[in-house]
Amino acid sequence: MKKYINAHILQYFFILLLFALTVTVIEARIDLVYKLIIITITIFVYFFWSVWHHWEDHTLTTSVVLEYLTLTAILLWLLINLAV
Amino acid sequence: MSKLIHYFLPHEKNNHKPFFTRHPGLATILIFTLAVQTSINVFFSTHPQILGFATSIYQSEIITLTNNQRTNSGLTTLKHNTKLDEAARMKAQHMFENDYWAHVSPDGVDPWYWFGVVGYSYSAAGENLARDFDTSAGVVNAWMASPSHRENILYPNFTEIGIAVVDGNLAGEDTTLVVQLFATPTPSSSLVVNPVEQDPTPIPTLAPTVVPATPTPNTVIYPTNTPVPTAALIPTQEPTNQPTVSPTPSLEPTPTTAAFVINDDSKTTYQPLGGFTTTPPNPLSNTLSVIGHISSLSAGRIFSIALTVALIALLVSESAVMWRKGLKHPHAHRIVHVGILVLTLLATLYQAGGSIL
Repeated sequence: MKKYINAHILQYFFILLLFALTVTVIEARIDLVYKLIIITITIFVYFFWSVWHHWEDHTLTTSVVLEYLTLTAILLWLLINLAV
Repeated sequence: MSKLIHYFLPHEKNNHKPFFTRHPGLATILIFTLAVQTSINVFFSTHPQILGFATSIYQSEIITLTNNQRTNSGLTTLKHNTKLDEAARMKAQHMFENDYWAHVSPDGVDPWYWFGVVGYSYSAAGENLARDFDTSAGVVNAWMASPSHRENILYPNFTEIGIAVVDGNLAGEDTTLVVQLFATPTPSSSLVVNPVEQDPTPIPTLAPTVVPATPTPNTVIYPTNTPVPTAALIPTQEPTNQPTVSPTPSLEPTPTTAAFVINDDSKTTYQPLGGFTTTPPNPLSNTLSVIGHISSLSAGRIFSIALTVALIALLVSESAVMWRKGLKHPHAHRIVHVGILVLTLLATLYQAGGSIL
């Protein structure tokens, strides 16, 4: 487990950094349209990174894709709720 | 109990993956979330009287809460003055129309200008500003947490108060501005017909008895970070209803300090004011105080917080059980999920505050 996490720590770091930046942008006083664009990009990056991550790990199944689709949809709702 | 374990905790029976972390469970959460959000929107759109703009901030509540703070400190309560209300409303409107968020407008109109416009003569005055708050309690709590705003609220010589809560669009963002004005009227202003007790349409024959209450400030004092009186003094011009232009823009108040002014013919008194807080120290308490007067925005925010906390608890408990059982976690990037949710939660809690000036 530790070995696995250490091998992927950089990826985890960049994904968390991406969300941290997105949340910072959401909190900033900028136009809502820009916020929504940034949120959409972040969610897409997160979804495709997750799928790629499982594909690389040889654990990609339909169930995993559906799991990430629903999870990213929830995250999208949370971030949009935060932005408006 | 076994049902609960099936839904929330990893176990042999659910193949170490609880229902709510599988896609059918997550889809259930998503559908539930959308249903709750739709219900909130429908409820508040069919009960427009409950809606503020995006908030539940009320003038009377702010006055009551401010007076409560003064009473707790052994001070006299402030008398509500509608002239100050009008001055505050005009200040808020001016900020919306000119797209600024400051005590002094970019073209040099200071807070005291509005006292002159409404004909209010004062010997001391103060201004507190707030935006993006959900509740009256949130606003007053944030002001009380900032030394300079607190000093305005607890200034013993103030006797009157005026509040404006105005909705509008500032720099492309819908918001609610709260302007709080304090004042000590000059003795002459006691002769001024007080609109609080008067008919809103004064009889013209009474007009000559009204003493013009043009402010005659000698010295305007803006609080600065470093209380150096000479650096903080901004000499004013002749009494006029025109905007007073600050000759030294660098001495304008810092963005998080309340504004304060004293008029005194004989001497200038410096009131050191400082303190820099842009958000209340405990945003969660503000969020919780929303429950008394809920708006659609705050209801949605409370639901967001509850959902995020529930998801974090679900993922953490799942990981904890797996860890304790010594099972190899199939999805190590649960850490990322939890991290993202924690970031979202912190941002939501932070946003439950607002900013003050």
